[in-house]
Amino acid sequence: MKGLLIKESFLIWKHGKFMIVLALIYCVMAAIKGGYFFAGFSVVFFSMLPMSIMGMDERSKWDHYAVTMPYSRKEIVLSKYIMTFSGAFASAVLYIISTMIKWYIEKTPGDFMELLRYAALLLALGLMYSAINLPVAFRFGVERGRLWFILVTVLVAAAIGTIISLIETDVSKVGNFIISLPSIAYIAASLILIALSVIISFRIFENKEL
Amino acid sequence: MKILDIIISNSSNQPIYDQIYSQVKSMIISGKLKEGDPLPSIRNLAKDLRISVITTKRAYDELERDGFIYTVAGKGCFVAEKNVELIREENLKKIEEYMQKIAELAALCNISNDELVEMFRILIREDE
Amino acid sequence: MNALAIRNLTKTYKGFKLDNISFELPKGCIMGLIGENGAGKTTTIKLILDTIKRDSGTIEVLGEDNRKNFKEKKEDIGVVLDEAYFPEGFTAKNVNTVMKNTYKRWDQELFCDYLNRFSLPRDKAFKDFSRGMKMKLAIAVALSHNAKLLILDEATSGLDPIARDEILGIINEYTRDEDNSVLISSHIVSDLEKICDYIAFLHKGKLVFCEEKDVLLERYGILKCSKSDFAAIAPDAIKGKRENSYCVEALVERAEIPTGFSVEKASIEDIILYLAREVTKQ
Repeated sequence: MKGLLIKESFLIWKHGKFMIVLALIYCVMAAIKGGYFFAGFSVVFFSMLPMSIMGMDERSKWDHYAVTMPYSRKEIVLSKYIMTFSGAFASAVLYIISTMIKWYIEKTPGDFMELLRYAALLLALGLMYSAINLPVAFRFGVERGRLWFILVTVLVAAAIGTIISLIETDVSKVGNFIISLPSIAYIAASLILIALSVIISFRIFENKEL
Repeated sequence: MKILDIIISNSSNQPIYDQIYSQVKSMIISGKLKEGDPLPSIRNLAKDLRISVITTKRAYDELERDGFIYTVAGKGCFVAEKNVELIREENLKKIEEYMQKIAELAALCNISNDELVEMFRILIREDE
Repeated sequence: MNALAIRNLTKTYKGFKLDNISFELPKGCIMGLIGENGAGKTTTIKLILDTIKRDSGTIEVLGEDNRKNFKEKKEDIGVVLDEAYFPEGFTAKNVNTVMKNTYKRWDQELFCDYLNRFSLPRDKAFKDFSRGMKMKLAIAVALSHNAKLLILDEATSGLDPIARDEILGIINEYTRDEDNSVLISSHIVSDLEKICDYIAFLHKGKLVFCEEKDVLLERYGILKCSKSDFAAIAPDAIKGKRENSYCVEALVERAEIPTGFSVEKASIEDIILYLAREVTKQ
């Protein structure tokens, strides 16, 4: 699988630079300005990268070629998930780092545990976003699945927006409830979702005619 | 290894294995290839001439069958001892070829076999 | 040993059926898989490589069923596909790095040799390559991991004659080693005529023949004669014919034609064209 991961990394570096920079900026803004808007978007950006890479693969029919190499179909699927996972993980770490830098600069130490919890929430979001999208990408391809991805993105954005407004207006208990849930719960939920997603993707790709 | 002059014609009616066979054979008979000279391997000959391995194998098989070359396992093919028998056989084959041509021409002109034999008898008597 | 052994292979799509194909590719030989576009060449190759599923039949690649442990076997198979390549932004250098970590027996030096030989730039993005260059890169990859079987799907289509000749020359060289075998598919018959040992002709999903090239060339010939002369020929000897107002041209079995008729050499292309028309008529 090493070769596949190297290939994904090459592509992300070559084509994702713009998106990475954008996501970085969003991450830093999230840390500086606070609030979940920027953070959420940076996670989404990082998670969208493997998707656009998959689009490029499709155009060159890379998958047709890759299955003739000594890789199992499971490895090909896993390599995409690993990249996605790394992306979400990286964005969470970046969020933590930029927040801590902000604290250091402004000399306003914050609650580290709370920071971790927010980061965990971001991580979970990123993982869930990919978990929902990747099987569709494997089944229908990135081009044909575009409608689905847009839909999901819109829903996720709406959900984030709603949660944010609920928290800030402090009207309903729902907002606070969501934040107060232990971060473990979110991570666990997203991991379960990813596991399901992987199993489904394995099945889809194993049977795909290339 | 001596450089062999083998020229393959793609447009000729003669099968390629036969062209190789004839050319190697005449080189052996004329003495260009001496007894014990190594021949290129079946594979290398095929690849150098850009033809099928099966073709060269067949040419070599026939050369060996007719006693012109022999194979040493693991070493390759070599030119066999030239002998009088072979030369006689060569000439016999040439005669057959000419006869074949005569038969074809005769068929075209509608000359019967008896007429042909008569023509031949006249020719020989003329020579005598 | 056979490099490939295919028995009763069948695959059905909507509107097309690869029907009960059987053939063998002996080790050390080059087989040309010939057929028009849509004849089933790519389908056959994909079935061999297990990238699509068969309906029935068995496929043995380098001595083993291709459903068992095929991942390992793929180390020994070099593949060039018709239109599947590395992603656009890749350079030859990137390819080398990825392949180094893909194949156990990747030979970087050999790959670089091929790059030089093909005059392929190391740092140019793939999307800026011409089709010929893309093909040459794919071939360089296929030849650089010590593969024992080379499978090429339409590797010469769309290339200029010089490039085609170059690639055929390389395939020829590859089989100098008797452990190496090649299956190459094409709809350009003249490309394959010279270097192939075997010719398999696929037409509308059926295998019309799979035969030693030499046997084909010896067995068949082109007879050109007048219509009246033609009537005298036994129908069994005729494998296909073309008539115009002046004469008849027919593909015939040489052995069945009496002396006196001049039978010209038939090229593989001739044989295939005549036989294809006959199959279409049926």
